[in-house]
Amino acid sequence: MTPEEIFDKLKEKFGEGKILRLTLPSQNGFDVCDPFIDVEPLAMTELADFLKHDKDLAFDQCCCISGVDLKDDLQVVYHLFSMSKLHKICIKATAKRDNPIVGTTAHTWGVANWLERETWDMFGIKFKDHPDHRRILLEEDWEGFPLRKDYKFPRFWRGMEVTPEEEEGTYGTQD
Amino acid sequence: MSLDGILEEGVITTTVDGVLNWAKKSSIWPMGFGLACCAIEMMATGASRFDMARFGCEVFRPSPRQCDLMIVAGTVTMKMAVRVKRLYEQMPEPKYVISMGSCSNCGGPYWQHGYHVLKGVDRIIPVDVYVPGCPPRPEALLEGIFKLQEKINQQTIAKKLVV
Ligand code: SF4
Repeated sequence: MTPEEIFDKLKEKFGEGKILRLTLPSQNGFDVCDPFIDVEPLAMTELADFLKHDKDLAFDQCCCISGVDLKDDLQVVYHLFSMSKLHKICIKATAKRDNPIVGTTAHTWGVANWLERETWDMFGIKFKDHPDHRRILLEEDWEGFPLRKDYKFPRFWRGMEVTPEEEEGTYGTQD
Repeated sequence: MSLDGILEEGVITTTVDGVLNWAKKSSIWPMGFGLACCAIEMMATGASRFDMARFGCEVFRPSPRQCDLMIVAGTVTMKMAVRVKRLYEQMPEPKYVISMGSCSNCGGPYWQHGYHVLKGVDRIIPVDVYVPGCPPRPEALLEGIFKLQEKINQQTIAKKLVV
């Protein structure tokens, strides 16, 4: 299926409120970018279920889940691929920064369990109804979410120096 | 030696220090754990081409209780630092530490923007020999082991010398 067909199919099933818009590479000035569909973050759970089990879509592989810090919003990007139909699509769910919650897809794709935990670990995006909502790489008592733009490096962690004194203030924010 | 000619043939004399140090330095058993890319070079050092066995330290032990030497080979992340410290504490005396590679010497490429990396393993455990490089070649690690052997040779049971 082409991205347009996928978009129409989703829109027909879930309506305009949940499936927001389709962006093709030619439309946003990046010709190398994949076509992507913006969706309502909390609709992700049922959407994932449909994407995988509908026999025309059959997105049986979730290649990657990433987080993006857009300053005002936080975004989760899903790259999906269908082994049987050999088509792919990219889904983007954008949530508000002050309370970012996205529906989990861990019940649909097994790999999403860990990928979503990593997104939580690095960006602090919560996944509603995730079966095992813990950090995955950092320890549970780590403070803050390191890949957010406004992350400040801690000076100490469990008594160990994270930021050497002479470097304090030069670390962290990359903008 | 002054006792030559008094003792029977086949008997040699030495000092207690000499014998102990000789035993220690000729069978340094390292701990078999690697933390990042440097560990690959450590494995190469142990394998046939560079063959650490020539110097008595090929027996990589899986348990800290049986080790004399901890080769900190690679990036010490904050999460791992807690474990490295515990492993060090579990090793029996006498114990030695080689810090291998820029990462464990000082944080290396993670000096800046590395919120997850300890800036030098010597911030948590005492280090005997530093081997610089990113990664150090196996020859460099072997040189580090020779330096450690030299250092062990200078020890005395009276007092651990700080060189
Ligand atoms: S010093 Fe270089 S080779 Fe060694 S662990 Fe660090 S990055 Fe890897």
